[in-house]
Amino acid sequence: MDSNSVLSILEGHAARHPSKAALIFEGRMVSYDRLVRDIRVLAGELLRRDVAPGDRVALLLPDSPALVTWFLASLAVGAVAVPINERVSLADRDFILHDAGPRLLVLCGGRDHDTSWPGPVLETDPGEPAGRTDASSAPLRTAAGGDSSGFMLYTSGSTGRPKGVPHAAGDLAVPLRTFAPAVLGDAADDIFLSSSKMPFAYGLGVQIGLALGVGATLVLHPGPPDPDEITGLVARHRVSVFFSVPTVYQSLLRARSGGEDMSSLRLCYSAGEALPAPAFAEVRDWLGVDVLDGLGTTESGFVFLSNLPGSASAGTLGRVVPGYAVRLVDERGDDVPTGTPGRLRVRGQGLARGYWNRPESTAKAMLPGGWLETGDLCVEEDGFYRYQGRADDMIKSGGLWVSPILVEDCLQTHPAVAECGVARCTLHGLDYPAAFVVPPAGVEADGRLAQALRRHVRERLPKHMVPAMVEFLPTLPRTATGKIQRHKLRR
Amino acid sequence: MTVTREELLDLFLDAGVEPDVVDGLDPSLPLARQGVDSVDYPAILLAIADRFKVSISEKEACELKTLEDFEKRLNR
Repeated sequence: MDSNSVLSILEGHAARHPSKAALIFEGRMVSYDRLVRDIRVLAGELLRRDVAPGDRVALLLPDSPALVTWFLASLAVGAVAVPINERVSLADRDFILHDAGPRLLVLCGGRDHDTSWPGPVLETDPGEPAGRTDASSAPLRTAAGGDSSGFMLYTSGSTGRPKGVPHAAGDLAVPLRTFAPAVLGDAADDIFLSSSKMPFAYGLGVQIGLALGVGATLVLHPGPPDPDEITGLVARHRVSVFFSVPTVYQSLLRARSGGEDMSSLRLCYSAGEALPAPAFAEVRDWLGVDVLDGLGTTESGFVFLSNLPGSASAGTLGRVVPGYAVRLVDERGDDVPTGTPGRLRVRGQGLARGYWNRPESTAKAMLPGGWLETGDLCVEEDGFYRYQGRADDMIKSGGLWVSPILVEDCLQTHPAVAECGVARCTLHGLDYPAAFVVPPAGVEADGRLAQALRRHVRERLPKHMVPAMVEFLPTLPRTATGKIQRHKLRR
Repeated sequence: MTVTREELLDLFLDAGVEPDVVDGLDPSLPLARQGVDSVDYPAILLAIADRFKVSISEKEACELKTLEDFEKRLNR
């Protein structure tokens, strides 16, 4: 596997259609030729700063030409690109930086960055990362050869601390061979937009793996998924393929006023959480396209269960994407019969081989024979898979992970919380965190307290982790050894 | 039952919608375009179920876009 395959593919596009728009950002265009040139310039910059093969390069940047170019420049010099979500908490950001130990941290110039990171920092312009410097004409190749180049994405762990998931550079090209032929067809003339950002496997795979991989045009959206901004971008740039999550589709449906021109869309994709069947129907009524639902994980690299155009089955995750093998097993690891829920395991190309610095987590998830334990539960009938929840207590809300322990620890710092448990509640097919609180004796458990507790979490954790409801209980269900039985709290 | 606008706005505040968003709401425009986001919506629906004992179905929820829509539904 050529570890520079994505770079080679890009060079091919730049040779065949140099002036074609690769990226559109804030109304300005970056051509394929310019992108490749800028990657060379930034690769030179990384080498000048002694970034060696295998070194991590942390990228704390919005979805922007800067993030795309620095990411690919890191691969070009054999380093490991670590894109970090700008919206993580400061505590998580510092944890990630200390865990990954990057040689360099790249961030946006002109802003106040509050970080305890003592290492080398490089400021970059989000729209014009390479300025107007002349580039060498050397091809994009790993400085010292070998398979050291790659990227690492951080995902939430059940303890609440992020876990690094390393991938080889070649893993980025896997969706071009698996997902693209089955789901996209010929997408070279498409205009892509993703509401999932590049620090997430979904957003990274769609934007750099697929959009740039097929030589299409990618519209970059640096901000949060505001419905008006999204519909504005779709209309202005004639976006034809849109990748998002159910919560954003729902917010688009709620915000629509009938004046949006979404006629350019030919394909809408959803992942990150299971798409409720009514949302599928609503989007079809509005846009005249099927939202294709699928499932992938940070560890699997990209989507391996998917609906296909023309045969979408609402309320399902579709079928196994060619190139992957899937098993549903019981607690003993034996295959379950059709129609019985089981733990979802996957095998195929592009899977992560382990977690960064986490041998125990690695042993639990990366199994012999190349099988990956996802922690998801599914049931299969006639080849179609349906999501059935998690085998553990993790919650997916708004397409983003919520660790119950993290939210519980936060609530425990409030004086009116003696004990608490956080579990998922499901409303209209989507999951949200719910808090179950035992207040100390003498404390009035009413709506005001619930509001105060939610605000307490809101002030400390990302918004999607805030409990959608707070229920007060006299006690929490616990095992004989005192562990909270969160599955008994689910609503 | 009767639910006044004031009671409904009070519920929005309790559900976590920012006070300046609640203060500035145009009752005839979609809430999702006025700062009520995808994390506020489930909290609002759950609070309505809890406080007014009204259970809103998924189909109904899709049609509740403005403050006036909510008032009409709750005062049926």
